[in-house]
Amino acid sequence: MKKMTSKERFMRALRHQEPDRVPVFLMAMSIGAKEADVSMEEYTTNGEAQARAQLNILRRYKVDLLGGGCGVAYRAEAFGTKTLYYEGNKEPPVIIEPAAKQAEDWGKLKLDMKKPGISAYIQAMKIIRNEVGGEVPIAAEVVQPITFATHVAHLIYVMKLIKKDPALLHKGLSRIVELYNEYINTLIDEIKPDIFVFHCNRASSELLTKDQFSEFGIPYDIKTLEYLTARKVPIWIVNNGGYPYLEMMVENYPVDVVNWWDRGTSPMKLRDMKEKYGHKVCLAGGLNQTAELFDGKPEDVEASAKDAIEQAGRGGGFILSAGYEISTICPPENLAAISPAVEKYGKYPLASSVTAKP
Amino acid sequence: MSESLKLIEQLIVKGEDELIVEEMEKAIRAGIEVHDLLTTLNDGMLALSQQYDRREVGLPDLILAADAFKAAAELLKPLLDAKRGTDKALWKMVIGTVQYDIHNLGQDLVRTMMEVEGIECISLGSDVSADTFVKKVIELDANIIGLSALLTATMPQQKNVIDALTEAGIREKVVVMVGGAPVSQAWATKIGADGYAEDAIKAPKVLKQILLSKGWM
Ligand code: B12
Repeated sequence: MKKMTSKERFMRALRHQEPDRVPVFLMAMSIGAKEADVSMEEYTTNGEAQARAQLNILRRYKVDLLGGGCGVAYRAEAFGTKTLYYEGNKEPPVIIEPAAKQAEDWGKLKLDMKKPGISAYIQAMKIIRNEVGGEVPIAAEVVQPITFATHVAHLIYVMKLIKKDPALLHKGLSRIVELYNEYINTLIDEIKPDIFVFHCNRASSELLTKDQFSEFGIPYDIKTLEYLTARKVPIWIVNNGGYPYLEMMVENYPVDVVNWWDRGTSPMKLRDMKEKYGHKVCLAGGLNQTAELFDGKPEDVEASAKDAIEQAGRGGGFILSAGYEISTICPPENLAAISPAVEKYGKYPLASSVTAKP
Repeated sequence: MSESLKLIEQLIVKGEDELIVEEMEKAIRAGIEVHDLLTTLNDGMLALSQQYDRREVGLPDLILAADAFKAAAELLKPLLDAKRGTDKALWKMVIGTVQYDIHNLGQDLVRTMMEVEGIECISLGSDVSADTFVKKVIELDANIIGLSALLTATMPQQKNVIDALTEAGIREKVVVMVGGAPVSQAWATKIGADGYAEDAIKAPKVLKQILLSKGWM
């Protein structure tokens, strides 16, 4: 098959058509900074440095989709939290004071897209688009409202509201969703992303029961995703470990790609999801950010990639990726083993040994 | 079990931190034994943890139950202090969750139970570095240290703290207790801690055994 650009490859996978080979994505935010020798402070506050770091990931590991930013704190800052950017090459920024500490604060949440972290992010994504946007798709990001609420306010406070003052939490979540209208539309206008990653970190049965998630999660997720569907931007859901809510989301949300920790605690493996939802959504995953990528050898990464393609590559609709963000201490040679592995096992039409149904 | 104890157990499970105080006060006035009250609080917490393990309740329920537990346990402190007499200031404990680990509910419950059992216990919160632990032990002249770790990835930090105590030349002067969901007695032995307890109720009991076996008590 003729060699495609990353964009063609990615879009075909998204539409469940076979591209020239399996596309690759890595959520490589802080490790991107580290590998480009950009300090964390510079990365999060200077758009040029952030773009340089992500473009370096593109060149080094031949990924087929680029994002930016790092963590939630810089985004929460745009909604009023006090966020600390460590000097020099330390940790990603952290929230040092929540925006909502008491009842009256929720209604007063405001959006300021001029804050340092979010404006650096927008600038970075624009630079990336100008440099490679014709060929490489760009991902923007938004955090699901219930998860975002636990950053805009203290996690424990939000958890208590669920039991003690659900009406107030509903008010807070409604306010976040209201502000998301401007937030998402600004990001779409400025960045012109090819896809939006929807982070669902708290959609987990470790934190919320099914009833709690149905009440405080789903309705606000759906409203947020409506802003994206109205603008016809495809949606990538990432849910690090939240089984059984993963399936609720795939069934009820307008989702194009689903990415979860398939090699982790989830009982739903790539193969199972392909079987059950492969006709509906494109799957992303197959590499373990806490195992072979983290402390394995390049051969282990190759084996994992091969196995993932065997499980989910059939007929397109699969992107090789990790379950979540790559740690800064993943050895570069492990990440470098991904691209040769997809060249070897992921070229369409896939070898029959690879597509044989188990 | 008396109606009153049954109700108290239910109030833990429901996380009613205000109602439980009223019920506890009634039970204390009615002359119910402190020991029975403590066991009831523990049973309540245990019942809720089991519901949590079956995913019938979530973290919000766990947090509120812990609050109710703490509020109820506080009421027992003066009663136990009165029983023990006045020589309680002998022991001072510093507790916290190790560096890079932000789980702090567990260590907070252990702190409450230590206080209930007459051991002054100061919490340093979560994400506490080995240096800070050592500094605080020296500054507060503490003789017990409690290290909580909830992540497999942060368990080695417990050993780092023990090494830092050795380096500071004060390892022999403090009892080191470790805990947290992934921690076990085998791990405690491996890293040279003095003791391990699987929950907040057992923690003070284990500590007392250690103090006795060291001849410190
Ligand atoms: C609540 C929670 C969170 C909250 C923490 C809120 C807070 N401020 O504390 C949030 C959402 C922030 C969180 C974040 C993460 N978490 Co978490 N979290 C939990 C959860 C659901 C409950 C922990 C808890 O509070 N239990 C209730 C208390 C009362 O129990 P306890 O802590 O075990 O303490 C008791 C005993 O262990 C003992 N004890 C505790 N400390 C000590 C100390 C001493 C000295 C002694 C004697 C005894 C003792 O006594 C306590 C009382 O009886 C557990 C699941 C679980 N089953 O444990 C996961 C869990 C611990 N988290 C996990 C993970 C992976 C994470 C994250 C990395 C990512 C994620 N999944 O979100 C981040 C880590 C962030 C960081 N750097 O620390 C994993 C850990 C896996 C592992 N073994 O490494 C768990 C097990 C979930 C899972 N199954 O994957 N988490």
